[in-house]
Amino acid sequence: MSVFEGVNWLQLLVTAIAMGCIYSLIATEYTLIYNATGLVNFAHESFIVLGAYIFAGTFERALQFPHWLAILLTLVSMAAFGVLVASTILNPLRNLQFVTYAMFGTMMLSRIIIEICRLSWGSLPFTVKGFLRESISIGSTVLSESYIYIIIISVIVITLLQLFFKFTKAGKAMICVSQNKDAAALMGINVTASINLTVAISSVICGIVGILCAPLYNVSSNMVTSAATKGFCAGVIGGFGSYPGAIIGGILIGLIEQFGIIFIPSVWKDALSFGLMIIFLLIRPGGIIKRKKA
Amino acid sequence: MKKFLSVLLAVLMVFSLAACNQNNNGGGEGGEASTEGDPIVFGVTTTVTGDQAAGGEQAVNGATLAINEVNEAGGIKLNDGLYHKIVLKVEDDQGDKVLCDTTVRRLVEQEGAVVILGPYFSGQTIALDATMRELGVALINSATNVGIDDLQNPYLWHNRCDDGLNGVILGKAVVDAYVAKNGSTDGIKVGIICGNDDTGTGAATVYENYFKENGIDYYRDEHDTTVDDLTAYIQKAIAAGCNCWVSSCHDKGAVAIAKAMYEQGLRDQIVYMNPILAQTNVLEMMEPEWVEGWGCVADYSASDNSNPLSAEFTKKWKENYTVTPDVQGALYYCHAKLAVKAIEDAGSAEPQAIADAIAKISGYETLIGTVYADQYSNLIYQIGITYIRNLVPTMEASVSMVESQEDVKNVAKYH
Repeated sequence: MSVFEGVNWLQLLVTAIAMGCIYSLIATEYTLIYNATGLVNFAHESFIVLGAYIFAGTFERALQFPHWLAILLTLVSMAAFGVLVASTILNPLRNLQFVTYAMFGTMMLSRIIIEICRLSWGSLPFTVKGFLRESISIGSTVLSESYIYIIIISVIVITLLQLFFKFTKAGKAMICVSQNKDAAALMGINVTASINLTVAISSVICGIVGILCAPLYNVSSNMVTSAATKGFCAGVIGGFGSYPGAIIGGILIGLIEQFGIIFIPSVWKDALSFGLMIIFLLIRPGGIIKRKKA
Repeated sequence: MKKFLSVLLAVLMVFSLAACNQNNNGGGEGGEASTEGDPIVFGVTTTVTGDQAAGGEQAVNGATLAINEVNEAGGIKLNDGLYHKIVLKVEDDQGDKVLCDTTVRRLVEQEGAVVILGPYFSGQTIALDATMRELGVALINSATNVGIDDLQNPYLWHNRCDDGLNGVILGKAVVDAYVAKNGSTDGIKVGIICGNDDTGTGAATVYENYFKENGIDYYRDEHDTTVDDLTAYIQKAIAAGCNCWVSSCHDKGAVAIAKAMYEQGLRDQIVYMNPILAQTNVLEMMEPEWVEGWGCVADYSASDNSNPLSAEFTKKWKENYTVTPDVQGALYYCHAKLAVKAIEDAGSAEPQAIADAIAKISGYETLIGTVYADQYSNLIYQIGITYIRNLVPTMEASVSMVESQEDVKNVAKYH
């Protein structure tokens, strides 16, 4: 029997799209902060981990709130955290003379957040029992509940974000700030406030990713190390700074890594994503969708 | 007057010196000589923090329990006629190979440890090869990689059935379970699904060799140990026609495999794993239906009352700790006991004497089995077959590959 005959392609497709959605959300979060501040936020993995710990460690396990309330409070907490980080760290960092120093600043911020998580919630991985851990059978195909929710929620988040940019004053201001901060300031836009709002939205997305990843990976300080790196790859492949590019890049990586290992040994799964990123950097450094210059 | 005062002072000084001398002699002729010698230092290097911290906590608790027992009984009597209590020094190596070298050196060179218990991982143990030879101190741990034997290092001892023996035991168990279910080996295809690190690849090779030798059809694929989503990995194995499974991996890998198999509708499967499946922290991350009826080799089970030594250990543990005892706790309890046995046999706390004494231990009963030291590294050849019932590991059988010191050489080919 050929190995291809036994593969449940539908199941693989759903998994690939779900993982792709996670990468897309991470790439979108990268893009938001990059567009707003000009910085690549290397602390974003720790933002996701923090979101997961607040949700699973505090609201679910310690306080035993119902899922909906735990999710809501996590997102509110992450928004507040985003404003705090933007006003105390990212806004001052973006004004540094050398961008490299600012990026190192975000790396150090990441280590601090991870250590705070470790000290606050302990170093042992844990899980939220009964949260998105069921599976649904459709004929011979068994689909994980968590993957279905990931796809639905990702579509909702990305749609809402596009509507926000297109139809709200704050969203349009964020686009202006991402294109030209000086011109935006001359037009009367409060650039600092806009950046604070952007980082808050970005942190909320990190919170969502953390919540969605909790049933996938269990909650630990390195739960999304691999996914966060692939999210960065998705941004590069899609076109750094482009929102549609982030989505396309994420889905593409999800599809390539899931279907790719049917043809090659499984240990090469991560190498596929990273190899693809290097190929893009060499032959199309702007990514699939090149960002338009202001 | 001056002359009188100086004579008085001189007399007082003489009396003071005499009194001091009496104190230093333990109270003089009428005093009792002390029977307590200098404490003996045991060093533990383990994962106090990091992903494997649960195992590290068990290790420290297990070693502490054994040492407390010895100290409460007065300590270890050495050839100097004195009783020496044991002091445990713990260092956190975070599961890291490089850091582990530093922690071991600190324990030996600064804390004066005469024996090292740990580290947690096989890779760390292998990386300590040159360091332990240089320090000349024996190391006892739960590492299972067969590569440790190849080092032929007289200071490295794993007080646990190694992957070579586990592989043979698990390979046989999976085939036996298939035959019991289907009547014969017709149609069998065993999926060897292991991590791509030292533990996984070493065990996968042992499984592969066993199935080759016994004419059993198999499929082998390894997964990246840092990857948590194994859907496509398991899909590939299903597509290859696997209908029973053996695995060796670490805790996150075990959870990821169980989750991926359940989510893809693989229920009522014949699955056997390395001892990681029986660890409390691993089972706590799973849902009961993911691993119901899965088997593994396990050195210890808290629910096993058939072994009196094991039952006694469980009772003592529960009197001292709130956390449930698991395999690592039991193993480190045994490692510490074994080190004590070696010191008692040697009558000395000199590191080289302890290392030599470990190599001579034969027929020493512990709760995980009877110890027979071979030429290099191996001490235990016995392990239990445990099944997971509603997330509780239940020991249902015990397999021993060695019944006497003579048998040790017969199993050498499996290491």
